[in-house]
Amino acid sequence: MVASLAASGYDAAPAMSENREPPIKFPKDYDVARRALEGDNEAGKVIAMKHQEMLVRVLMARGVKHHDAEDVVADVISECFGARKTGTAGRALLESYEGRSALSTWMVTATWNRWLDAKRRDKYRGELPRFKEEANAGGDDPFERLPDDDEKSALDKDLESLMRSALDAAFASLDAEALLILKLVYQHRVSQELIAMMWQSNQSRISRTISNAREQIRRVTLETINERDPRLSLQWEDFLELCQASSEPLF
Amino acid sequence: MDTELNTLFSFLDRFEPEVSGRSASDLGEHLREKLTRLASGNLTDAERSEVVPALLEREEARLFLISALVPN
Repeated sequence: MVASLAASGYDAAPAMSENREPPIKFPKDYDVARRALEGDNEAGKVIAMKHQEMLVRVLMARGVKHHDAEDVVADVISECFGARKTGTAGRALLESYEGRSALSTWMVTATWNRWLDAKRRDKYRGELPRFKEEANAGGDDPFERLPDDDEKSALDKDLESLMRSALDAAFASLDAEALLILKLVYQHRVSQELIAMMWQSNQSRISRTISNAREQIRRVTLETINERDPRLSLQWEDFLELCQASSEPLF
Repeated sequence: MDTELNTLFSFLDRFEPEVSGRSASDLGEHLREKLTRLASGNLTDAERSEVVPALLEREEARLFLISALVPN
């Protein structure tokens, strides 16, 4: 996860080169980002408003305390349009966005990487040998402590349970045989060839059943989430990213 | 293998209760016979529809089916 995040985003991504034109898969997102970078206040406001709350929730879903999440998100959003505190001086973070993923997915990646950077710094400092008198210093300084278990386990239960219930609703909406086929293939690793044999069918039909089920899961999940919490305005890529993030330990 | 579905199942797996530890003998002779036939592709559509709910609800039924499918 960390590797994939690093690969896709925050620190390593080069600015769009003049000699290279990567495919733009999300032209609307790319356009709004470009306009914001060119000083269009309205575009900048749209980006900030659309992502701020969602990003805070994404961080909280991984155990980040609410006020820390707000701080990180505020930093990332301001760096989207201005110079970074460290690193490439004078370059807006948003310059790295190339429209190859949804802007919201890219923002999630950038924000998560920023958080990981901060935690790594905390961890390094927390592992320095401490003098006795420092042990009683209260530990209020965030650079004096390691991430503790309570922090890691303090998941945003609201978001997690929303995601879970939306997925449950999506799976429950499936035809029973389709659901069983999914369970056999994805939970028990039974090959589609063997499923086809048992069902006295052919593999392409089984494959189609799976593909249709996946589309239905995607649609019902997003519908359910948007119905229950329209403020989130999640895209499918965001949802998958959250699922992945929630399934993996912090370090 | 579809990575999206893998991701979704991994997420949901976190909430699955521990495996019940029930044995295949709890399934009953009738169901086990049907599952054995399903494993060899010998159930009619109607018979298969009968066993689908049990397979969805009971992990031990799925494990029995898989063991009949892939002999040790």
